[in-house]
Amino acid sequence: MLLELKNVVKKFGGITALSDISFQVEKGDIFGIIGPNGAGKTTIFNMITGVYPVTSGDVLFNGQSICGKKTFEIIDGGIARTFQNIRLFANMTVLEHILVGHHCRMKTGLLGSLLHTASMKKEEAEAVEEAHKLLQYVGLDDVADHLATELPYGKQRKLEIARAMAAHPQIILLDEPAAGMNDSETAALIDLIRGIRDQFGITIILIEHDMNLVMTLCNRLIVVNFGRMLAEGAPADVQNNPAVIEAYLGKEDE
Amino acid sequence: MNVFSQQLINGLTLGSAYAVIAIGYTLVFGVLNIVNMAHGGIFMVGAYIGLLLVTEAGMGIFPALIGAMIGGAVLGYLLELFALRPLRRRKVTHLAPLISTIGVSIFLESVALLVWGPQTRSFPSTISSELMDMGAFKISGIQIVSLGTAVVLMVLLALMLNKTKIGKAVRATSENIETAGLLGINTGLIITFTVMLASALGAAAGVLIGLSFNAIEPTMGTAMGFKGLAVLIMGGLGNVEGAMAGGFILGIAEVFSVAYGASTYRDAVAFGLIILILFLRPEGLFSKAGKGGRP
Amino acid sequence: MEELLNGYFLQVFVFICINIILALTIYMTLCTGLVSLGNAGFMSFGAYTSAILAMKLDVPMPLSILCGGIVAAAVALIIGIPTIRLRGLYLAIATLGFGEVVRVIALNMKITNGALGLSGIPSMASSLSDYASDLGLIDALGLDSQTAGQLLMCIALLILVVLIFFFWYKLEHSRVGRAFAAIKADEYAASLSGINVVYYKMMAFLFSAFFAGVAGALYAHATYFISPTDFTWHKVVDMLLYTVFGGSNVMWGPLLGATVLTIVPESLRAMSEYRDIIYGLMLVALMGFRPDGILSYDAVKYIARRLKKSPKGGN
Repeated sequence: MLLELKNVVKKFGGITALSDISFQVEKGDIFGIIGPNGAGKTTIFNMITGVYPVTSGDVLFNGQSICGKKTFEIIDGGIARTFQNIRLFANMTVLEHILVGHHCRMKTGLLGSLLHTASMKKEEAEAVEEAHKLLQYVGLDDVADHLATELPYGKQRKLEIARAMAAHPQIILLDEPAAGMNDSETAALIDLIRGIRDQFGITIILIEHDMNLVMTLCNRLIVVNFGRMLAEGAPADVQNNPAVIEAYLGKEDE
Repeated sequence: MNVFSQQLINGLTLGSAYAVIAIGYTLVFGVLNIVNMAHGGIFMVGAYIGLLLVTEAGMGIFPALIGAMIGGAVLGYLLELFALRPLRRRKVTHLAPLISTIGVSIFLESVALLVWGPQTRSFPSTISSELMDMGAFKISGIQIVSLGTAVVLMVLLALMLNKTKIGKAVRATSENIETAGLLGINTGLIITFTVMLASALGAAAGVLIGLSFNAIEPTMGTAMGFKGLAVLIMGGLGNVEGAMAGGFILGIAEVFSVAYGASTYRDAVAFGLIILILFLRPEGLFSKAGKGGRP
Repeated sequence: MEELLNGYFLQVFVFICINIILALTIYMTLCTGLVSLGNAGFMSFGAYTSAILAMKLDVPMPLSILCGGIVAAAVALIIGIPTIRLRGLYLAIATLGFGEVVRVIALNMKITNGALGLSGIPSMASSLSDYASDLGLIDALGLDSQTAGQLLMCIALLILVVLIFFFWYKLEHSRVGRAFAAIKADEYAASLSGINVVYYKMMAFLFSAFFAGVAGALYAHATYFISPTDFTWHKVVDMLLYTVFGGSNVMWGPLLGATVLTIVPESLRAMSEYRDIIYGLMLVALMGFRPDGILSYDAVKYIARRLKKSPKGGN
C-alpha cells in the first residue's frame, strides 16, 4: 500500500470539513477524487501534504504515518502536488520553476551556494540538463527561458505538473488539472498523465470535475460530498451508485 | 497604604488612551489587512489641533476634542486618498502600504517639527489637576476627563459597530472584503470611512494623552504609535475587543513597572510584552480559535 | 588628485559604503519577502559590541567588528524563532519593537554610558594607517598619515562592499537563491514545492542582522562616537528609503539608492530642514507610482540588453 488515509477528520473551529475519510491508493494507481464544489476534495490534499494538521485519524505513506510532518518534509518524502488555482512564481522563468521543484533533490548548501564550488556547479549543470529533459517531455522546452506568468493558461497547468515531477515524487496530487482546458487540450493531458504513470512510475491522485477525463483515466475513485465519502470503487461501479447520482443530479440542477 | 489601587487608577487612565490608539490600528487592519504606520503621526497632529483650539481659539476641552477628531478624520481621508488608495488599484505586496504609511508618518512628524518646533508644549491648566480623594485612591480632574472620554468613545464605537448599518458594514468588510462586496456593500466607501474613523479616534487619543502627560511634542506620535502597535499584537490583529483589553493591560503593566522599580525601562515594557506574547501566544491574547497569525 | 583626497570627500565615501551595506541588509530580508524594521537595533548591537570590545578589552579591530556582527545575528536568532513562522507583519512589528527596546536599554545601561554615549572609540582610519606605516607604505605614497588612514579605510570598505555584493550575487544564482526567490513570490507554493520556508527566511534574516551589526561596528569605528540617538527609528526609515528608492527587487537597487541618497543630502545641506519632509513624500510617491523603485526587474533587463548590444556588437 503506497498511501492510506485512515478515518481522517478535519474540523475548522466548529465546522467539520472532512469526516471519516478512509481510502487506500496502490502503487501505479490513477486514483480519482470527485464531488461537488466545496465538498472537501482540496482539503484532502491539504491533509496529505501537511498544510493543515488532521484533527483525528491518520495518513500512512509506505506504511508510515506522515501526520505532523512539515510540508517540505512530505514533499521530500515523495508526495508532490499542483494547485487548483495555478500558483506559479512571478518573475521566474519556466526553467527556474523546474529547478525550484527539484530543490529537495539537490544538496548544495549555503557554503556551496556562496562559493559556487565545483560540486555545486556540477550539481547545477546536471539539474539544468534534467530540467530540459523534463520540459521536453511535457512540451515546454521551447519556452524554457520565458517568464512562466507569460505562458498561456494550458501551458501554465503543464508547468505546474512538471514542477511537481521535478521533485522525483512517488505520488503526484493533481488538483483539477483539466480546469479551463478545451477538449483537445484535455485529450493531450490524459496522454500526459498516463505517460507520467507509465514512464516515470509515478502514482497519480487527481481531483477533477471533467467526468470524461476521470472515467477514462482513473482505475479507482472516491466520491466526496459535504466532507463525507459517498462511494468508492471502479469508475463503472461508482457511476451507477444511487447516492452518487443523487448528489450529482442535485448539483446539475443549479 | 493604597499604592496598589492608586496605581491601578493611573494604569487604567493611561491604558484607556492606549486602547483608543490601538483600536485605530486594529480597525484599519481589519478592513485593509495593513498596519497603518501613519496612525502615530495622526495621533500627534490631533494632540496639536486640540492644544491650538484650547490655547489659540479659547475653546473648552470637549469642543477642542471634537475639533481634533474632525481634524483627524480629514487627515484620515487624505491618508486614504494619497497613500492607500493608489496602492489598492494595483496589486502590490503588503510591503507597499507599510512603507507608504511610514512615509506619511515621517512627513507629519517633520512638518510638525518645522511648524511647531521641537519644544514640548502643554495644555493650560483649565481643568483642575488637583487630586480628589476617593478614599482608596486619589484621582485628578484630568484623569476623570481622560478615562471618562476614552470609555465613552469605546462604548460609542462598540454600539456603532454592532447596532448601526454602517458599523455592520465595517464588520462585514473586515470579515471578508470580497463577500462584503458581493453582498452589495460599497467596500471602497467603507474603507475610507474606517480609515477616517480610526484617524478620528487616534486624534482623540492624542488629546487625551496630551492632557494626561501634559506634554505635546512632534516625536510623541512615533513613541505612542509604537505602543499602539504593541497593543495591536497583544489583542490580535483586527480584534477590536482585544485592542481595548490590551490597551488596559499595557497601561497597567507600565504604571506598575514604574511604581515597583524599573522606571527607566518604562518604554521598553510594551515591547517586552510583545516579545513574550509572540513566544507564548503569537495569535494575540484574545484571538478566537482558528483565526491565528499563520497564513 | 589632491582635491579628491580631501578629508570631506573621503568621509562621504565612507558613509556611502556603510549606507550601501545597510541598504543591502534591508534587501537581504526582502529577498524572502520579509520586512525587518529592526536593523537599527542590530546596528546598535554591532556598534556597541565592537566599540566596547575594542575600548575595554583591546580586541583587535577586525575581530571586534566580526564579533559585532555575530552578536547581532545571535540576537536576531532569538527574535526570529517566535516570529519568523508567523505572517510577515508580525516580524515587521516585532523587529520594530526590538529596535526600540534596544535603544531604551542602551540609554539605561552603564556599559553603554547611557544617553551620553561612548566616545573615543578606536578609529579604523588611524589603526589602518598605523598598520600601513609599519609596512612602510605611507612614506612610499608620500601622504600624511591622516589622509592615508582615511584612504585606506575607504579602500577597505569598498572591498567589503564588493565582497558582500559578489557573494550575495553568487548566492542569488544558486539553489539557495532560488529558494529565496520562490518564497518571496509565493510562500505557500514554495513550501509545497519542497522548500523549507522557515529555514530560508531565518537564513536571510540572520544574514541581514549580521551585516547590520557589521555596519554598526564600522560606523562606530568611523565616527569614534556613538550614542542611542544614532540608532533610532529614523535610521531604519533611511535604510528602507535607500532600498525602496533604488529598487527593492534587484541588487543594484540598494547600491544606487544608498549612493544617491547619501550624496544628495550632503550637497543640499541648506535644505536639511526639509530633508525628512521630502523623504516622507518620496516614500509615498514611490509606493504610489513606482513601487519597485528606480531599478525594477524590467529596467535591469533592459539595461543589460543595451549593454550587451552596444560595446561588443560583433559578439
